[in-house]
Amino acid sequence: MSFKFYKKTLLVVLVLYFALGMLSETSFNKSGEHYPVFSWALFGKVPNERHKFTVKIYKIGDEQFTNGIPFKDGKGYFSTINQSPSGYEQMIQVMGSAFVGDDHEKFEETRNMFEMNFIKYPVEYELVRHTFDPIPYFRSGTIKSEESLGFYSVLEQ
Amino acid sequence: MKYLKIPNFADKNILAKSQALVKWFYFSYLFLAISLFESKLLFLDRMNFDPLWPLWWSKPLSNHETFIVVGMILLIGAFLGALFYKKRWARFLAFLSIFQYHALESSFGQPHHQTYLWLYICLFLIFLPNIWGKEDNEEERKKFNLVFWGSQAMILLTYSMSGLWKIFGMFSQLSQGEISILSPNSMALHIADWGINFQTPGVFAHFIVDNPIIGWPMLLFATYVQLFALYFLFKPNLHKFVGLSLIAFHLGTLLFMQITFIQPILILIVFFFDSPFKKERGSLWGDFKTLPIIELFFKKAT
Repeated sequence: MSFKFYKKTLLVVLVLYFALGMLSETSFNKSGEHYPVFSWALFGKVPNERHKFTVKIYKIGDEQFTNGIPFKDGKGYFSTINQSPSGYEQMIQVMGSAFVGDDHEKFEETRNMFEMNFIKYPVEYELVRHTFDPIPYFRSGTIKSEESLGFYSVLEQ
Repeated sequence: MKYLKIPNFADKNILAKSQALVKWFYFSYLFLAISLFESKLLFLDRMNFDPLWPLWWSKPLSNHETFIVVGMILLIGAFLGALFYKKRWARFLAFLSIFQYHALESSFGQPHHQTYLWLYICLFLIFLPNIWGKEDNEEERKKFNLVFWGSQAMILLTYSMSGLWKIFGMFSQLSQGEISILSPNSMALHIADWGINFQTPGVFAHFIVDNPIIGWPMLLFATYVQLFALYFLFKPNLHKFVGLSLIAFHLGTLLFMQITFIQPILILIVFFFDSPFKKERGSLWGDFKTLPIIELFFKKAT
């Protein structure tokens, strides 16, 4: 293969990589990835007012939590939390989005996956949607509003 | 276009440096592979494993068996790459090993950004011609240097894509009347929002959230360097600058957001700290005058 061929191939590869990367974030693939090409759309937008789904735990085994504890604060109970915070966070967001989007099949599928992967106890929990500004929420957990989406129980697995 | 400099790919000095850096790339890959194996695979007990297509062979195996096989492939490929990097088959196996590892890491519901660049560069370097001992062959010399330069282009293009999305995001948010990257609170908002998702925010997260004006210029600088990253390819005397700036950016994500991006740092060191394409050392002021955008003012003045 000649140097000229190498040059042309390099140009084509770079252009294709760029084009596929850009497309991965837009029309045909919302995940930002068309493996093994990624869009690199990371931190593209500054977070403004946020809506976030959260799981609040009310009962683990025999232990009760009157006001509920956020799932992320339950690492003493769920060792799997330590594995990948972005993993369970993403799953909770997908679960909440499916709920509010009336996609029952997706909701049940994600809920089962969440419970199987991250919850090992008999547990009672609530799925809620919080609306907040990131800075006050980060500083003190202040939220603007909380909306309950439903209560769920997990028996011994 | 007159500002863009294409290197002389036939240059023998460039070749000697490129060859040395290719060697260090594969030595670094061995180090990376061992550290990935040690830190990830031996403790990999995650359950939400949904294998991507490069792991098609793993269907009859349990998750644990798949992790062990991929770990072994990773180590063997990295050792062969480091020992026989002059041979194309060894470079191919090194690529295959990172491809398998990367697919495994990306099979838990989200892409594994940290090792993407290793995957791409291992792929590019497969196409290096066999020039060791035949350095007088000009055609092969040009091809070797072009592949090295192309690898640098791939790295920088990736960062430019990230920068481009930030600029798209800025215009989109401005058009909707939202807070954008132009707000002095933008870095604090990013850090706070990310910190909410983690039990342990970055060590300086609270400091920046409480002092947003200190974080803002850092975000603007990171966006500037990312956006123009590919342009720096044509500015060989600024290769060290762009490498250092991108490392500073990765260090920032660690200190402020607890996002670890150690793996690309190693690549940036190998490819940009002592770039084969840089010319004789110029003055700092001279280099500064050639920075993207800034150079336009100096060109006008002269």
